Amino acid sequence: MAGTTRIPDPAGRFGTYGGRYVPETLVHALSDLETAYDQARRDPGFQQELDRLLRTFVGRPTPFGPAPRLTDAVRRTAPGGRGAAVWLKREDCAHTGAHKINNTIGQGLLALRMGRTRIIAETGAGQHGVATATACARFGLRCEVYMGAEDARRQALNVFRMKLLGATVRVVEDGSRTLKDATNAAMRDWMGSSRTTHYILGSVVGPHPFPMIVRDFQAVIGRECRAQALDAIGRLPDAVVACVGGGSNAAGIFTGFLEDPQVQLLGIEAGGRSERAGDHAAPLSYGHPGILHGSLSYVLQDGDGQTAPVHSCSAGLDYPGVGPEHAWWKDTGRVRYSTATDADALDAFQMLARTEGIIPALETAHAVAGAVRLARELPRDANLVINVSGRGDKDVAEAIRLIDQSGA
Amino acid sequence: MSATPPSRLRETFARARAAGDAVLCPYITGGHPDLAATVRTLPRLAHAGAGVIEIGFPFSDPIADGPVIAAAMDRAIAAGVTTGGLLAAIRDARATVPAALVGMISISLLHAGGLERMTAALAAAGFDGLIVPDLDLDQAATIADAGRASGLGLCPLIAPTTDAARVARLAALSSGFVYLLARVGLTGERGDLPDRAELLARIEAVHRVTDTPVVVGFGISDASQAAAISELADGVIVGSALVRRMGDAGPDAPEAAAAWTAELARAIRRGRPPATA
Repeated sequence: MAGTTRIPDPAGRFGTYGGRYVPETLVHALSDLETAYDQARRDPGFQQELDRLLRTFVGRPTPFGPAPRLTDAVRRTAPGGRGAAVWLKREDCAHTGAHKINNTIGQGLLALRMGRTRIIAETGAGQHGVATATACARFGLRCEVYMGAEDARRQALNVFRMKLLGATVRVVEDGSRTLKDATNAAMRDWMGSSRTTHYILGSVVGPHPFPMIVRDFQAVIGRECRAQALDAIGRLPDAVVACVGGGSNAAGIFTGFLEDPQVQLLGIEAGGRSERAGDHAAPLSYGHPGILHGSLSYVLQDGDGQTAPVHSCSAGLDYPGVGPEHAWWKDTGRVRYSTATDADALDAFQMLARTEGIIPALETAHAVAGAVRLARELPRDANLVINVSGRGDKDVAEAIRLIDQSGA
Repeated sequence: MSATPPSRLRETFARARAAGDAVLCPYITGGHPDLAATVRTLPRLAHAGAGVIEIGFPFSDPIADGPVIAAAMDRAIAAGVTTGGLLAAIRDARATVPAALVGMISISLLHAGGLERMTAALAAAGFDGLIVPDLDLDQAATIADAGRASGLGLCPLIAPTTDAARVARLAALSSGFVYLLARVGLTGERGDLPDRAELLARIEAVHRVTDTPVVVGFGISDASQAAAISELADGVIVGSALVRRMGDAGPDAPEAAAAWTAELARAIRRGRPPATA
């Protein structure tokens, strides 16, 4: 990939993907944000303040290290002489337990710089909502988080955490009452409120400049990981694996290795119960290019263009779209995308807990499942990195239910 | 299929202009409360005084729309209304509707159906114009071209926050009318009207860069507001207030829609100085 090519282009395009398909009322707010971000990005003071907060508040750099017992488990089940050494990038160790905070601290600082006093956000499982509420508490910004009624019911603990952090949770009763409807509600709010309010979108999705801004704030994962891998392994890893819902943790870690063609990049989507429509949340694997929430990317929709129902055991992956840059990476072949089913993820969830003493988020467990599959095919002298995007404390109740159900 | 130019739109506004009238442009959500109601409503609206009727295509994620229209769309989709079904219903009813028809359709649906195929299908169903509420300006020329090839006039939206350079670009793309949003935010009814002088200045700014008619909508909720707007603009759009009345009226939705449209039409005529006597 040419390092000189500016991605996205000024119109917010990653190849043909991305763009800004929004109501006219939002265009001005997005242009303002684009200008403010462009200035912030080139302001050393902004970068220093962000770095300081990432160090002192978020707890960066997050650890990077080997996973010896997971590696053993891989090699025991790999064909003769195969089985890569597995390494872990530990975003679960970031404050609030996931990578989401990297973005909310960055966008929170941006909101302060733009003189905004109120923050809105959408959330599915509640992780981005909690990370947003956390940043707002830290910065003294008013915070309102839109959450689908169905998600608010399933993730009552996170609703409480957001309230504890001083945020108002706005429960959305429209449509499927999940993440996509919360996103619609947040965008609608912003149309009337953008003079005072910044919208902290939680993933590399939505209209330009959000996919770029969120990627850039998450790119710290890849920058750290590349340097840590060179230091710990002595060379670049052979493969990097991350889970992909909207795709922000994957974009963050992949960005660090895009220009190292020898590093294989693998994104794992939620395969759910089956490949049938409505049973999964894997637009890159089973969907088609379409427009949702302001950008062109792979989406799950019916022939008319109506957004299709999705399913995943992981609320954070349960989204019918994906970031436009992933669509571009898929089409150019730079990143390969595959799926892990609910059952695969549940096995991997327990496997990482037992072999490494790390309970991953159910989202992350999809990456672990895909990584174990790939590691078995790679030679023994290969090194594979998993982005452990979040910790699984939030998923314990759901995991108990699923494990009981599966009789495992 | 004939590539009719959007002459019906042009003639409707020209006739109104000559008479010193504004064009009343009610919006309904297609297939709400059901397809039969849409078919029965359209001729009644035209006879009640609507010059242009906007028909919204139900979409699962209509971010530009407020709660009333979003709920109407949900209801239509849940009742099994599809883009193809709506197009067929309009095509069958078209001859009974003496008004221009403008489809309001999300870019998501246009993209899924294929731009050229969709504009051709809209034209074949008897639409005269097209509003895409979530247009990417960088791609708008492609849509305008596809519309023109099918005989559909593109009607771009202009918001209070749209800057002058963008107003000029949008106005240049307009081949139907310019849809000027009275305020920021969502579709939906409001008690207050935007400042008259400010609105007039915005309308005049558009008139300076295009001959296309300027139609004002967004949040107009009663006859007196419609009358006030009609003094300033070439046309008045009412949406949520009408959709809400139709939803409330159940099986009598077409009659309720027609009665209220007639009331608005009377108010608009009253609000205008009579044409040269």
